[in-house]
Amino acid sequence: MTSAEVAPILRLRQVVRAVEEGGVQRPILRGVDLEVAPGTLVALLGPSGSGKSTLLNIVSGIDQPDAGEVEVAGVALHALSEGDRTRFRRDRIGFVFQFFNLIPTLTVMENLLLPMELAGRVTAEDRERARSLLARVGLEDRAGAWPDRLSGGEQQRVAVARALAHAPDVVLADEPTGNLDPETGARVLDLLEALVRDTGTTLLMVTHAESAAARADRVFELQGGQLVERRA
Amino acid sequence: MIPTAGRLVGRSSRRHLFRHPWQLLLTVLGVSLGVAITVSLDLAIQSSREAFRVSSETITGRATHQVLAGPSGLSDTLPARLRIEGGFRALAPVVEGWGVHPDDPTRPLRILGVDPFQEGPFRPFLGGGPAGGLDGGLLVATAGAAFVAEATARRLGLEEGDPLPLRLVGGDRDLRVAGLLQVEDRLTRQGMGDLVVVDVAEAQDLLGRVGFLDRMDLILPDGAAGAARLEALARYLPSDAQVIPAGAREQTMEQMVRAFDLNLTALSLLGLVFGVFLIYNTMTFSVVQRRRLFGTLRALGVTRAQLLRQVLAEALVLGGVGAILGTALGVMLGRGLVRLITRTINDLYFVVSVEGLSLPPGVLLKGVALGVVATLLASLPPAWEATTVSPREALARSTVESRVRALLPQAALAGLLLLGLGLGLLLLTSRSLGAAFAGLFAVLVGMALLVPGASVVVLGWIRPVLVRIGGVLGGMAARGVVTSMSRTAPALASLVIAVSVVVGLGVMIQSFRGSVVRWLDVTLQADVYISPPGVVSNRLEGRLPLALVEIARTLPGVDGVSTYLSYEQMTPEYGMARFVALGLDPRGERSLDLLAGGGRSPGPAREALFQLFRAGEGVLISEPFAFRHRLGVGDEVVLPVGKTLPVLGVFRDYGSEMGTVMVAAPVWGEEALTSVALFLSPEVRGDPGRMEALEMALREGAGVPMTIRSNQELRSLTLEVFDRTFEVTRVLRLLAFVVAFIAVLSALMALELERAREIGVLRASGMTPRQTWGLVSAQTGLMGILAGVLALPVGWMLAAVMIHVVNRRSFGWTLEMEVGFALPIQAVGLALAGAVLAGLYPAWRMSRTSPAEALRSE
Repeated sequence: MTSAEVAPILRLRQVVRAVEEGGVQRPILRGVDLEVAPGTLVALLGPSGSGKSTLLNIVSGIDQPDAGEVEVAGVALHALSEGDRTRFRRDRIGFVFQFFNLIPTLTVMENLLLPMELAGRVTAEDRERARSLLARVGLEDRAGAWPDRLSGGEQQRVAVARALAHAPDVVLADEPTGNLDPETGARVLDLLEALVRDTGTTLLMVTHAESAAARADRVFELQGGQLVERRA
Repeated sequence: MIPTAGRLVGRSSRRHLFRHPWQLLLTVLGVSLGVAITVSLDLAIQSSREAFRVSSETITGRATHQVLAGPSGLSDTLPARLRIEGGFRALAPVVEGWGVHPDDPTRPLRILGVDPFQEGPFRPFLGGGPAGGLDGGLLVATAGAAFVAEATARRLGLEEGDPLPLRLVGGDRDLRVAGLLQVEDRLTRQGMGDLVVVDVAEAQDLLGRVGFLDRMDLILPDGAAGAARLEALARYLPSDAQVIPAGAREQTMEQMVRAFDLNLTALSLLGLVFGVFLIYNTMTFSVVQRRRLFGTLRALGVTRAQLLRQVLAEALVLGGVGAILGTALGVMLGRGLVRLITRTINDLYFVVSVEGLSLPPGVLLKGVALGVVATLLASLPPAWEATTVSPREALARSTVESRVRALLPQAALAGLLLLGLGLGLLLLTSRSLGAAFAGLFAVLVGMALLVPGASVVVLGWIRPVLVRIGGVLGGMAARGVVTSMSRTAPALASLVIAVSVVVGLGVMIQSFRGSVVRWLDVTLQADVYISPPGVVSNRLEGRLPLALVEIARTLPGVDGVSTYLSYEQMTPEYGMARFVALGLDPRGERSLDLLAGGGRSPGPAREALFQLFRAGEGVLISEPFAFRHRLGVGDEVVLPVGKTLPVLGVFRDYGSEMGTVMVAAPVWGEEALTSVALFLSPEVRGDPGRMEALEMALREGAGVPMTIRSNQELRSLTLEVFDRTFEVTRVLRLLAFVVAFIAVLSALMALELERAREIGVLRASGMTPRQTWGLVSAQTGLMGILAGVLALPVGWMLAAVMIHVVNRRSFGWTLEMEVGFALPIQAVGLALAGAVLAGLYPAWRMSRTSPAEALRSE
C-alpha cells in the first residue's frame, strides 16, 4: 500500500479494543490493520459508535489497545508508559476536536503556544510560527482575544492553527466540521487541507461528511470493527 | 407527559444524586456540621442552665422566701428566736458549701447543712416526707453522718455505712454514709445530683462557719397576710440581711451568664452560616451539571414550576437528612462541650454540677428546622437558575459566567451597603448586645459580598506576574479563578470569612490576654498571696482569721500587708455584685489601675483620692460595675451595710464581670479575711530558703489550712483560668474552620470536576499528570493566598468590633487591641494550607483522569 522507499508514519497491526458495558465486553475494534505514508490525508468514515474516535485515541496514545501494535512516526506506542505517551503526544501529535475545545482561560495566542509551553520551551521561532499560522487562518488580529469572544468558525480556525503550531508529524481531527454550518465548515477544511499539505503533515480525519472525505488521498470505513479501504 | 413529568424528573434527580456520591456526601456533611455546631452549643448551654435551675429548685424546695446573710452573717440562734418570739413555724436554717471527693476532685459536691426536724415542709426527700424513708434523726444523733444522693453514691461506689472522705475548704474530713437519698421523681433526682446532706451543726463545723447560717428558708402565706409577716420578720433580722422571694437569686445568676451564652450562640450561628455557603455551593453545582438535562426536560414540556419544585424537593430531602444527622452529631459534640462550658461557669460565675447532657425536644427540633430552612434558603438561587434554562438549548457555561461577572459590581455595591448598615448599627447603638451582633453579621456578610469583586481586581494585577513566573500555566491558574466566578466566588467568600473569623477570634483572644497580662503586672504588686484553700475551680469560698495579719507583721522580712475581704452579695440596687473591703498597704494602692478619677500615674490627684478612700469617704468601682450600672466618678453607690458613698474612681478589673465595689476596710468592719497579700524585703524575696521558712511560720502561726502562692504562681494560675475560659472559643474556631474547609473542598471539587473536559483537552494536548496536578494546585493555592490576604482586613475589623463593641457590651471591659505579626502570617498560611489541602483530591483525580474519558463526556 505504501511505496517501498518511504517508511509508513502510521502502522497499526491487529489492533483490538473492547469496552465493558454492564459487565459484558463489547468489541469495538476487531483486529485493525493500517499503514499510512507521511503527508497523506486520510478520511475515516463510519456510523456512530463504530469506533472511529476510539481509533483516533489509540493512534494518539490517549487510549491503549487491548491487543495489537501501534507505531506512529517509528515509535511503538503500545510499548510506552503513560508518561512517555503523553510526552510523545505533546511533541508529535496535533488535535482538532468537533467542539473546538479551546482552553477558555488562555488567550488565542496562548492556546497556540500551549504544547510548547507544556514541553517547557517556547522559542522565538515557536512564537513566529504561531503568529504566521494565525495569519494563515486569518486571525492575526485576535491573538490576545479570549476564546469565548470568538464565533464557532473562528474558534475552529484557532483549533486548526493550534494543532499545527508545534509542527507535529500527525494531525488527528475528530469531526472538525461537525459543529459548524456547511459554508464555515468548508472554509475550515480548506484551511486545514492547505496547511497540512504545505507542511507535509499527515492528517487522519474522522468525518461523516462525504464532501470532507472527498478531499482525502485515502478513505477508510470502519465496518464491524474492521477497516475497509474505499477504492478511488 | 405532563402528569408524569414530576415523577420522571424526580427519578432523574435521584439517579443524578446517587451517581455523584461524593457530592451527595459533602452536601449532607455540610448541613450536618452546621447544625451540629449549633445544636451542641445550644444543648451544652441549656444543660448547664437546666442543671443549675433544677438543683436550685430542688434545694430551695417549697420555700416561698429566703433570708440571706449579709456581711455580718446570720446568727444560728435566730431561727429559735423567730420561732418562739415571732411565731414563724415553717422555717428551715441552711448552711451550704462545696467540697469534693478525693477520687473525683473535678466534680463538686454540694454540702447542704439542714435541721432534719424542720425539713418536712420544705424538702420532703430529706426525711419526714413520704418519699424519704430516711430517719433524719440519724444526722443529729451520729457525728459525721451524711445522706448522699443515690446516683452520687453509685458513681463513687459508696454504700450505706461506708466512710465518705471529703476535701473541704477547711481541710480533709471524713464522714460516714448514713443513708441514700432515693426519690421516684426524675426531676428531683436530677436536682439532687451530687448532694451530700448533713446536720446544720456538722455543716458549720465542716465549712468553718460555726455560729452562723448562710440562709433561712421560709414558707409565708400569699397576699396581705404574707406582707404583714414579712414586715414582722424584718424586725428580727440584722440590717444587712436580705429577704428575697425564692428563685430570685437563681434568676439573677442566670442573668449573669446571659451575655456569655449569647456570645456562644453567636459563634454557633457562624458555623451554620458556613454550612449555608456549603449547601449553596453544592446545590448550585448539581443544577449546573444538569443544565443540559433541564434544557431537554423543558423542551419536552416540563414546566418551570415543576423544575423549581423538584430542585427544592431535593434540597428538602438533603437538608432533612443532614439536619437529622447533624442533630445526632450535635448531641455527641454537646457532651464534650458541656464539660468545657460548666468549667468556665464554675471559674467565672458560680458553681454548677452537670450530671449529663439534657436533651430538650425543643432544642433538637430547632436544630432540625434550622438545617432544613437553611438548606431551602441556600437552594433558592440555584433552583431559580434551573428554571431559567432555555427549553431550546442548554445555556452555554460562558453565558452563565458572563452573567455572574456582570453581577459583581452589584454584589459589591450590596456588600458596601450592608457594611455601612452594620457599621451604622455598631456606631449608633451603645448598649444593645443584639444590635452589636446584628451589626457584626451585617459587616461579615457585606465583606463576603465584596470578596469576588476584590478578587477579580487583585487577580487582574497579579496575572502578568504569574505569567512571568509560571508561563502560560501560571496565567491559566489566575484566569481560571476569574472565568469560573460562579464557582470560585462562594469558595473564596467562605474561605475569607472562615479565615477572618479565625484571625478575628485570634486577635481578640490575644488582645484580651495581653490586657490581662498587663493588668496582672499592675495588680499583682505584692510578693506573696495567702488565701483559704479552694476546692472548686479555685473559688475563694472560705475565710482566713484576722489574727493572720498580726502574725504576718511580726515575721522577719515582711515589709507590708494588704488585706481583702471579698463578698458576693445580692442587693436590691445592683443584683449580684462583689464587695471588697480593702486594707491596703501604700504599695498595694499602686495595684489599682485607675481608668477614671485620681489620674493613672502617681501624683497629687491620686494621693488625694486614696486619702479619701482610706478615710472611708468613697468607694472605687470596677469598670464592669460602672458600665453595668451606668455609674461614674461622683455618682453614689449604696452599700449592703446601709451606707451610701460617692464613687471616687473606676479601676480596671478583669477578675469579675459582675462588677466589684471596693471600700476601705473600716467601712465594712472586718471579722475575717478572704485573702492577704504580703510585701517582702528584697533579701527574703530572693532567697528560697527564707521564703520557705516564712511559709512555715505563717502556717504554724495561723493554725488553719491556707494556700500560699508567690506572685508568679498566682499570675500563671490566673492565666490558666483565662486560657481555660477561651477553650470553648478555640474549639468553635476550629469547628468553624472545618466547616469552611469542607465548603472550600466541595466548591473546588465542583469546579475541577466541571473542568473535566478542559483538563481532557489539556491532557490530549500533552499535559502530563504532574503538570495537571501543578495547575490544579496552583489554582487552589492562589485562591488560598488570595483568601488569606483578603481575610486579614476582614479579620482585623471583626476583632475590633468584638473587642470594642461586643466585649464591652457583654462584659463591660475595655481591651487594648493587639495585632502582632504572627497571626497574619498564620492566617495566610492557614488559608493556603486549607485551599491546597482542599485541592488535593481534585488535583489527584484530574491528574488520573483518562483524557479519553474526559473527552468522551463532550
